[in-house]
Amino acid sequence: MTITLLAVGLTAQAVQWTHNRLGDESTLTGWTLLASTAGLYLLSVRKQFVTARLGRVSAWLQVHVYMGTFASILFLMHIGWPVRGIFETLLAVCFTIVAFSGIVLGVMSRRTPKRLLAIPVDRRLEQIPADRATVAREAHETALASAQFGEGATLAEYYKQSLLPFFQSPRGVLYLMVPNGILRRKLLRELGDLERYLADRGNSSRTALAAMVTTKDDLDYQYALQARLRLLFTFHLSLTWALAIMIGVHVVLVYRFQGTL
Amino acid sequence: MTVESVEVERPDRWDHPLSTTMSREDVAWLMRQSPFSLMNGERFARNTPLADVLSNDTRLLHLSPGDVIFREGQYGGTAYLVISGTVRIFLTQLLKQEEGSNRTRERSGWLDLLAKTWRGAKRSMAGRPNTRRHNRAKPSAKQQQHAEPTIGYRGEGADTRIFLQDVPRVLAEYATSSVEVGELFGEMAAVTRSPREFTAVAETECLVLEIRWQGLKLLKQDPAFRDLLDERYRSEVLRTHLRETALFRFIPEERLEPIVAATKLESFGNLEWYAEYRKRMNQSPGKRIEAEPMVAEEASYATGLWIIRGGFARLSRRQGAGHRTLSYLGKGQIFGLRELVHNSQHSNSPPLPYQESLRAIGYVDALCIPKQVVCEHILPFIRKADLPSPIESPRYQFGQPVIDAPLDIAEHNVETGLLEFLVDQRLMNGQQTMVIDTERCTRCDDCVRACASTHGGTPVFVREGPQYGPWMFAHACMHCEDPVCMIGCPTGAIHRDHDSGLVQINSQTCIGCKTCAESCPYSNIRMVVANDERGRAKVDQTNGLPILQASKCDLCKGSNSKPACQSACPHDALVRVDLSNFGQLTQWLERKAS
Amino acid sequence: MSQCSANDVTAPRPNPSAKWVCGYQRAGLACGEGPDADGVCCQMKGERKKAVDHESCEANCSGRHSCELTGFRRQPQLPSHSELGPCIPQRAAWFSRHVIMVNLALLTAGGLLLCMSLPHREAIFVPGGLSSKHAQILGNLLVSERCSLCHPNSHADVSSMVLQDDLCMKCHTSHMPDAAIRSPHDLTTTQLVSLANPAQAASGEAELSRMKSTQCAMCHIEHHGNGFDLTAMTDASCQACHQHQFNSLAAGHPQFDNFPYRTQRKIAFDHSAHEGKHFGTKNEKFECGRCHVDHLQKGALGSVFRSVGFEKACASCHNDSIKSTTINGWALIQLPSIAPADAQADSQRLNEWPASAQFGYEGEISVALRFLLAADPEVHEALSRLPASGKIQDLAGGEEERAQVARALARGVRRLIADVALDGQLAWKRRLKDIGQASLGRDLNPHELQLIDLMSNGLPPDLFRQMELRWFGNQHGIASTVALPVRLVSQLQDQSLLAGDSLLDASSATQDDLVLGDDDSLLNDVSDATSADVSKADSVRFTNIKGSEHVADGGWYLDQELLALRYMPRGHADGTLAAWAEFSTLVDHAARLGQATIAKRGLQHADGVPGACTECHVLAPQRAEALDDFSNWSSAKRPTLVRLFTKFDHTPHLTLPSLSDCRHCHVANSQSVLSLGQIHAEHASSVGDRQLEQAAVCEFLEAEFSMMRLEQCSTCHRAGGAKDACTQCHNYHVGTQGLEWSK
Repeated sequence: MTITLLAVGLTAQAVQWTHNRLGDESTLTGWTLLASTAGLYLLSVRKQFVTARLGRVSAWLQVHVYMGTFASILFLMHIGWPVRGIFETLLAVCFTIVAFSGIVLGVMSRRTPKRLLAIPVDRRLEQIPADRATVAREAHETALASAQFGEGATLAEYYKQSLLPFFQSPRGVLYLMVPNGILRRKLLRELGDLERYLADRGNSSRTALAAMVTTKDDLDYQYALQARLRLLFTFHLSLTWALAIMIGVHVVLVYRFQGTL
Repeated sequence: MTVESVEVERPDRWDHPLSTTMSREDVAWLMRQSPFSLMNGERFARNTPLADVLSNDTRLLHLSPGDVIFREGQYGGTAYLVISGTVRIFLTQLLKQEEGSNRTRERSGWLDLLAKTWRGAKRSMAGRPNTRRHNRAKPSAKQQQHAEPTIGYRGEGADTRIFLQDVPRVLAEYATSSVEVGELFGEMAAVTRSPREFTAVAETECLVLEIRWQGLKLLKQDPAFRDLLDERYRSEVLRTHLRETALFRFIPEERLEPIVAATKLESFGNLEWYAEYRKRMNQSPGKRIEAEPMVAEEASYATGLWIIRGGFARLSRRQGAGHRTLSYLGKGQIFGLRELVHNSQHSNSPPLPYQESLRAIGYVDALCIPKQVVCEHILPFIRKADLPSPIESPRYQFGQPVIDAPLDIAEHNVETGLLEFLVDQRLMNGQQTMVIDTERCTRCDDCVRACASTHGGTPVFVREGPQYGPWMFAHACMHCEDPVCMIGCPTGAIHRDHDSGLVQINSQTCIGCKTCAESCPYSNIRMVVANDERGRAKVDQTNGLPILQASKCDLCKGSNSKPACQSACPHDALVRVDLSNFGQLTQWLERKAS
Repeated sequence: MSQCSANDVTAPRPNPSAKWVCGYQRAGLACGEGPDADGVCCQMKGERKKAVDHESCEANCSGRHSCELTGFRRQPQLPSHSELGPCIPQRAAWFSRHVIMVNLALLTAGGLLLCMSLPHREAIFVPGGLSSKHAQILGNLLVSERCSLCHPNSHADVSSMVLQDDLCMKCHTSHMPDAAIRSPHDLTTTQLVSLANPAQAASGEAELSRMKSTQCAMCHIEHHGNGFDLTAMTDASCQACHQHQFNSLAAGHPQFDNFPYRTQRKIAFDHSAHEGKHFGTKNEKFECGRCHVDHLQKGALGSVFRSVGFEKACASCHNDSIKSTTINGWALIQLPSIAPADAQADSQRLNEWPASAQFGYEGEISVALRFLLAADPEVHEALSRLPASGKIQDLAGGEEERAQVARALARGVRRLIADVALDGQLAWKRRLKDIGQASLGRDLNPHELQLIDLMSNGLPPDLFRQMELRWFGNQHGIASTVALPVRLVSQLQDQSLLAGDSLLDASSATQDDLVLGDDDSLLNDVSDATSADVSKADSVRFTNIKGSEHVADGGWYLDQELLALRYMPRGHADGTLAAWAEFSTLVDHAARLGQATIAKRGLQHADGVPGACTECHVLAPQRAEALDDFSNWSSAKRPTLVRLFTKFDHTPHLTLPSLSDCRHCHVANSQSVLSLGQIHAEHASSVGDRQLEQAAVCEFLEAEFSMMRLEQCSTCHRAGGAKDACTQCHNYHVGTQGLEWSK
């Protein structure tokens, strides 16, 4: 980190110096920015070559993070304020999105594992739908069974109206963004309220259902956490190539209009 | 993911014999030699007649004086039977490990600097097990300044053979024992899948029959041969093993003899322990411990000193109703010394019993040296530094109540829970166990993807497995200290690498019998469709079903760098740790903690 | 399914590197093999078709075998193929990510191409608006044409390289032509070097290599939007080049050198004297604004001037005094007196000399007369013997010498009068030009010629004819007895005819003459010439009239008593007198520079023109580097169009109450010992040495105010206070509109 800050400081100095020397500081920052951005792309390049002895990806990631910080600061130096011009603005927005998503991704990838660790069962993302299906099936059977115990269809009714959608359908987008335990608590509470209408067999299946609700919610929870992380990553990566193209055009335009190209 | 497939013949045992040079004549000739002449064919199973065993699982070696048959520390799945001539066995370490071995040195660059933090731990972990053999100290000045034996090379290409120059001189300087005609050697390493414990060199022109241990097992169907085997096994173990115990390195030669004489070798549990382990998996931990064969029990009279020489032993102590694991002892570790030392020092006070109990985790080979011998021949020659910490507050004393220790005492800075877990899961067996720190892992599957792309599109491990706290011990081959997967293999396709000791599968000789996969207690071996070099799935000619092959982590043996999974992890969450020796584990945990 | 994966050794390992995942994964029934690289479900591959129904699958399913029914082997209660519907393979996470990346990239590329093909593409790619001035110029152009106005080769082909600056200069040449040389401050290297260190100004070309050529865009950066100040410049960027670097005006700025009194003052004005004596005695308030501020006009320094002009500033006090200095006019020509004997003796050729000028050898020769006579070779010798005072009686030599000088001069005067009487102003000018050329030793320049014109301005030749008639009694207006030089005689011949006409003119012009300043002599002449029977009384009455009173407001007239031709100046700023003064100073200066001809012509004492011009107007040719114009008749004015290195405007300063008193900055110099009055006084004694006096005056003026000190500015002009940026007081682009300094 210190190195990054050092680099930033040095660049700032250099920029100031060039500015005082009546030099073109935006060229300086521009090229530095370009170089560091290229450096950022190196990480994904490294990921392509798994077999080659190129050092641990984690090390590369560290470099990537620091370089990213550096580039972001440099970016702020480079763009005049306020940003002007349609194309330039687009480019800036593009960069900002990538940078910002990168930062968020960094934070998330620190915090998500700890939250995942809190969940009793740790499943791979691909397995979760399957497990969901299983739980849903079990829940369905339990509910149906409870209806046949002749204790009235209370549980079944309740299952039908509020539990069924919960088990059958995946959670909404909002939950994906901010996973929370609201619905879980609600359902459990309502299930708890049903106790007084049920005899012991009914209650047993009620408790079973409660357990399933918890399981399902846990699954949803970690699905959301993992999916969110992947989504962020997608977000981070999705614009990279577009960005590269725009940067290229930008550079060409600049030199073309300086009359040097 | 292969679209097209190729029809092939389903591979079979003995498709790839040990050597193609074994002609009918040789076999016929062998059959006339002892001990094979004495064996009766009826005892052999119909599908594995003696002749086939000899022709497929053995080969004849014509050796000239000085030829090195195998070197100490190497891994090998073969035993040797001397047909003619004599072979010398060097009981002390003869050659440097690297000498003559074709291990590629890792080149160093800035990347290595990046990974320097790991290097320290890794060097020792790389390949060779950590039960490092100790040179016996040479008290006599003459032996101090003896020269390293010079070695030369014979022949070219594949059958290049290392040989000692000036054998007589070397023989004069080193403690050796000789193997005569009709005797067997090197089978111990073969059977126990442990590294060679000595170097064998041809003393004279001699003819030696090399036998695959699969073959050896078949030959054991003959009782006489089995006896020979067992007898050899014991005697050999004692001598060599005592000599290389660190504790004894200052004991003069002449004192060693009585020790060897007095020492008993005992085996506990079953070599094929995994089957039973599977059975007991879903028992309560307490029951499981009870079921483990007891080597020495706490509060019982300290009869002698125990040295583990194979397998693992659980060092436990009674805690409340159950037992609490304090540690596990691997090869070369010692039990009972504290008590004996204490007793000898406080001879006036009543002697202490064993303070902990020692149980065999699955299977253990252990040497027991009786108390008297220890006091008489060993203790006088043990350096203070080597002595264990004295016992201040003994839990067990004769005629006194048992002080139940508080739970929080931790001998090692490993939390007991993890320890218990490791032992219960038998994870302490692993030398390259893949441990994932789920506190860091973002489940990005980069490790698996990296693995897949290093292994032709299909990964060789699963990113899940037993988990204790944040540590997930993924289903990746641990390259066990004691690889039980090898036991069942009919063709020796699954074997330990000559030098590194890593467990490898030879896809040429694997016949897809699933034995290894089923015998792996950690289910780290899976059967996958065999692909030919062009990536097409092999399919059985007869019924069009795909031909399976055992696949498991080979630690990326192609590239001489860290395994791809580890280097591909962006968050440093995945590491390969050597759990087989406790020190490593604790080190690693400390590193994680800091 | 994963529960079994633990102990089912044939269960395939999940492979996240696969592009496609089985469509049934969502249902938890992912088949072992899964779709192939092209996302085709394994079921769709003909060869795998054999295992679709339950039994056959059970029969020959190796477990590794791929079909969704493997699910059944593990959990029999799972739905069947038909319930699930067909397997639609899904993209794996990383693969869909990859696809998104590619698509977005393509999208961007396409979008950019589209933008480039649009008619208003420039509007899309322009990196921001122009500054207001440029914007309004380009405003009414087509979008597509705008760029190429300032960006060379942006739309044209690159091969023809044009510099952007050239494009800038297309518009900006008119007001800063020198910017085209693309050198710092628009100065040539030589100029720069000479400014930096005058010592090696010569070796300027040597420095040429080190000099970097500047570009407009270095400081003036466009596309920063409408409000952006293109001309803003930081001190740091000044110090980019400047060797002597300092932090602020207060700290390190080199001390002013003789600021702001560097330009020579032209009016000898003694502030302290005025404040003390003149204003003090009249007890009027002595405020600077009265003479220096004119709110009606604006100069380079705001509405503060060197002087607001005589009329506004000085006239109220000085008009009368100036008039009084020449109350009796100035006797340009006065007949010297000779002994009566000379008039009798024909040898002297002075028979016609008026009797009233025959009382011994005396008389004064004015400076003007010296000049006029100096053109006459015969008089040189006499002139050269004449003393500085110009009085014959002051001649050191004995009676005889005086006689010779006086006679020579008398003859010269006689010739002069006859000459002018015949040729009029022409003769007058001829003589002056002759002198001018002789004394300066070169042809006269337009200014000097103009001077001569002024010197003979309004000189009436009739007066000379009057002299001929009245003084020398020459009836036909021709001095028959005077032996003129040959040239003059020949002229006289044809003049004889003209004489009559001239008289006629005179008579016909009587009325006019009466109208213009009634000249007594003229009247007499009229009475004599035309009507013989004019009564004596009238003539007496006319003769008694004093000319000086008649021409009180300026003009030429004859003094009958002293037999002199006099000139009455027109108050302040009388062109003729000023011209005489300047001319004389010029000649006098030349004399001091030692022009050979002058001594020989007897012009060594050329100064001494009456009137008090030089008391206020410094005539110091020795101070003027080029002799052609050193006339300080009008006070110095700063041109408004010249951009100098340093700029200053009084206006904002005067708004401050503390500064409203000029003395705050312009402090009188206490060291100056003498006052102007004293200087004049002490030079008055040593007569005729005006140059020394003027020099002294100049020194006085330079010393009158103590020069301003840096601190006076830096007290306010600090960081945080009034701005102390370089550009606050200094111009970067120096020069004059339309005038190329570099040439």
